[in-house]
Amino acid sequence: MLASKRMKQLKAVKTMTARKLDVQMAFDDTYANAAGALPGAKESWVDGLRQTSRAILGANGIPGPKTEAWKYTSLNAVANTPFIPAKKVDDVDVSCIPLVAPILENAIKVVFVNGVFRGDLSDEFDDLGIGVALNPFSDVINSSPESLRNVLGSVMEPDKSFTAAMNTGFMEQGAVIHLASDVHLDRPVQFISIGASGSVPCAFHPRIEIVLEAGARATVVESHIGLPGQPYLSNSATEILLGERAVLNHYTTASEDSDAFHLGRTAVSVEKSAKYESFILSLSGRLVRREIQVRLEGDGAAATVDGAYGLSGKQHSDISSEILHLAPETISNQTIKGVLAGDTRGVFQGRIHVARDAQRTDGRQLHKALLLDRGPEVDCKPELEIYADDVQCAHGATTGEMNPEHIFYLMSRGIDEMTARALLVEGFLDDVVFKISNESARVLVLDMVKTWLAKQKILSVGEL
Amino acid sequence: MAATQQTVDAVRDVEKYKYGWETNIESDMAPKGLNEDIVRFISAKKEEPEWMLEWRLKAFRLWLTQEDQEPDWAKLDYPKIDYQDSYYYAAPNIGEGPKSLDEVDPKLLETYDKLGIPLREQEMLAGVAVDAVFDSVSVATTYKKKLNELGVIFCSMSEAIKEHPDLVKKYLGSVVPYSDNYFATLNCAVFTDGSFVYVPKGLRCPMELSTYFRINEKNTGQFERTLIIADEGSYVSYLEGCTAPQRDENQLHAAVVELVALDDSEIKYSTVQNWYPGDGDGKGGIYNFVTKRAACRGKNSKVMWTQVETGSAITWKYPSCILQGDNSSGEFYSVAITNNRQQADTGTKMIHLGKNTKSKIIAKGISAGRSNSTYRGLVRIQPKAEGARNFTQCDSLLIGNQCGAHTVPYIESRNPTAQTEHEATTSKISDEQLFYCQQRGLNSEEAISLIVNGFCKEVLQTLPMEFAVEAQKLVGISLEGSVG
Repeated sequence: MLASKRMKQLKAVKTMTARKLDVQMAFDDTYANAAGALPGAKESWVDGLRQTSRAILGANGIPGPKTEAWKYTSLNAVANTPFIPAKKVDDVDVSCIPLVAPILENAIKVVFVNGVFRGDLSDEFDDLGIGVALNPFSDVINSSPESLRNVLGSVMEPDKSFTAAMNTGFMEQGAVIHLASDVHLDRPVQFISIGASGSVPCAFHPRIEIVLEAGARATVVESHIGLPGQPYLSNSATEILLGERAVLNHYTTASEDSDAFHLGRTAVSVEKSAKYESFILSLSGRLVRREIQVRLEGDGAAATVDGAYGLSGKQHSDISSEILHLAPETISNQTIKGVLAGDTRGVFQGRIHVARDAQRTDGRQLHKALLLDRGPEVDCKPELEIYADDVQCAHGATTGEMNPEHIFYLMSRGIDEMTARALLVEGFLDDVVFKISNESARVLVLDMVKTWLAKQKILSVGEL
Repeated sequence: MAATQQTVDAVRDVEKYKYGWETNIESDMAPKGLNEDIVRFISAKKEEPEWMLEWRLKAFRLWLTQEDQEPDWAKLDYPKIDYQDSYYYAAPNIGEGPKSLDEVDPKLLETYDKLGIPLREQEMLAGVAVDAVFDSVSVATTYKKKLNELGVIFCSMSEAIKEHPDLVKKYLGSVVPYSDNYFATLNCAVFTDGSFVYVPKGLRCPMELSTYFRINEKNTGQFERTLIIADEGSYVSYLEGCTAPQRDENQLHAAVVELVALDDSEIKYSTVQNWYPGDGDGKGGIYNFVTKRAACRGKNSKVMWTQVETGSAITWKYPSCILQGDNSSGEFYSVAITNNRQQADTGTKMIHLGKNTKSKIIAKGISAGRSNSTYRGLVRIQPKAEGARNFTQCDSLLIGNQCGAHTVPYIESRNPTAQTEHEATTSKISDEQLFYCQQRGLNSEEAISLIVNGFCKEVLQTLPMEFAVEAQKLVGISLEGSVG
């Protein structure tokens, strides 16, 4: 009995080591050969950043259920798929892209296919006005790497997150936005990242850097979508630095192909009196994990970190957020809502950390999940870590099914049951979607939610 | 100047741990260290049957393989424990087990007098039946006769192993198996005593049962094991209190408590934990690593945990309920107070398996000084738990800006008809509240004690009356010196 247990333990250790090696080899073989050719490789600090990240990946391997941050999200399927670097994929048909991409009205569109910047599909963005610089990441890192010296890797820490380490280790293309002091960019910028594997599973690691100097304002939307085919891994990272009084509205939507994997991370630093508003929408993809870390670094910095997810089929969605109150009088607000149907799993992990000096902090967090049928599982871990005494922090979490009394009420008004259910689900999600302050982004997200709802059999009604 | 000094002295006086004395009693001790011989020694000392020794050895051998598996996920910071630097068996030297209280060493009785549980008086007054555990051995059980007449078995674990082996065999380790976790496994190997309670079918136990634990010897660990079985339709309320002398070194306390509630039964388990918390600089104190779990096996069964945690340098404790029976319910009420350099990581687990199972969690954490307290809890709804219901409320109160209060709840729901609700808040005592109390003539410490007692009221009122009074006082004492 004992011997067999011991054997099991030994075996477990062995497979773990084996997995570590596999990951390392996979990365080394397919990527490292190309490392020398990656943009910015000649800059020793860029190269160093990549090397360190890859060393961290090699040392830690793919995180398993014993790693607290990945307790509820298994990467087995990712580990077992032999991905190749996406730029080797050349058989992609892009003609259908305009049909599938959610288009933001009046936006400056910047399109990536498998992580590769596509000027032919993007809008012109050479001349956006004085103080506005929007450029492909590879251009900036090759021609003026110094401009990114204090930006790249400043808050996207590879040692804190597998997602960040993988992206930093292999980042190649992406975009850099820089707004000079007090510049307001009126048109929103929309990044559209399209995954399309063709005949071989591929992985890509787009990197976006956003720097808003003091008093600057902008709206950025990231739309992650995909085309059917072999599974792909979209491993994006967005690093954001907001100077004093800067305001950024940042909305991320993930509606990946149903076989695709998405591991994305946003890391934000918010200086004094600056404001960061974000929304994460996760609707499709076999596995979608969005990580967000917001550091409220200056007095009076504020952040809104909202989100919604809708799951059906066999999806797995994970929103993991971390809000760090590092200065006095900082404010954070978070509402995440999820609707789950089918054989799905929804995960929300939210940590609010209040540092010793961050007195008079206000932190609010709410997670609500609505389970539509018997299949889904929802796992929620709202966490408070507080070291300052003069604070107001609260979090709440609920899970449950639709209130039958609500359905009854609508039915008593002559609405049939299906429509009533659909209305209630829509209302449940709209509640948080309406908190998006940018109008065109709100319309875009509302449309996406509606389209998703219309596809759900359990709610299927003619007109929605 | 003199007046200031007087105040300082006065504060120092009250800050002192009231239960910090030791009793000089000759003890029968096992050699220091931990190995298979010690396990055999303990088993032999207790005159245990072979199957018990086998069970202990099985646990011990497993524990040896787990060397690197000491749980490290809790938000606790302490130096690595040297398990060889401790005595695993210390019994007050009283020869044969006492037949009645008259045979118990008068010094021991004096000890309990100081603790505020005069056994004799207790015997006179109607109410509480006490089993007192001194270091490793149960020294006296009061009210035995009367309980026996009713069919309630309330005795020390060693006695139960000898006299009720069938019950022990059937239930021991059935809620917390020997392989459960590092500390529980260690407990299985070296546990020395504890209480055993069996309440027969349909009986509402007419008095509160109570155990008092005390660690007396230097360098000893205390490993007690408690097993309570409530048979169909019965009810029992059980109280547990603990203290230890003041010592510079850390002492380990790794207990296991198992509760089994069968159909329609109810168990109420209350703890006032006041182990020595260490001094102001965090020197000494008890490491309290405890596994407590209840199985609500029968339909309509109910378990209620109440804990007031004011002592221990480190608390690692998660009284849990496995809600197996349909309509069973589990409740957890907790107050955890930390001051100076104390650390507490405590909470509960509610595992819903049966239909219409209910759980309620009220946890209040109060941190002062340089202490850290964490609520860590799990609510899991399994797919078959139709109509399960959970409500969780965690409130933290911070006193001073050098302490920390953390909340780490895990909520896992796999049934759509289940409803879970969780809410948590963190705040401090507002200046307005303090001012209001002070202008009514209370000094700041009285004011804080009053406000904190109000903050904890929901939990304290679930305690049996005698304990509630003690707990209220403890709340005040624990926070003394926390405001300047």
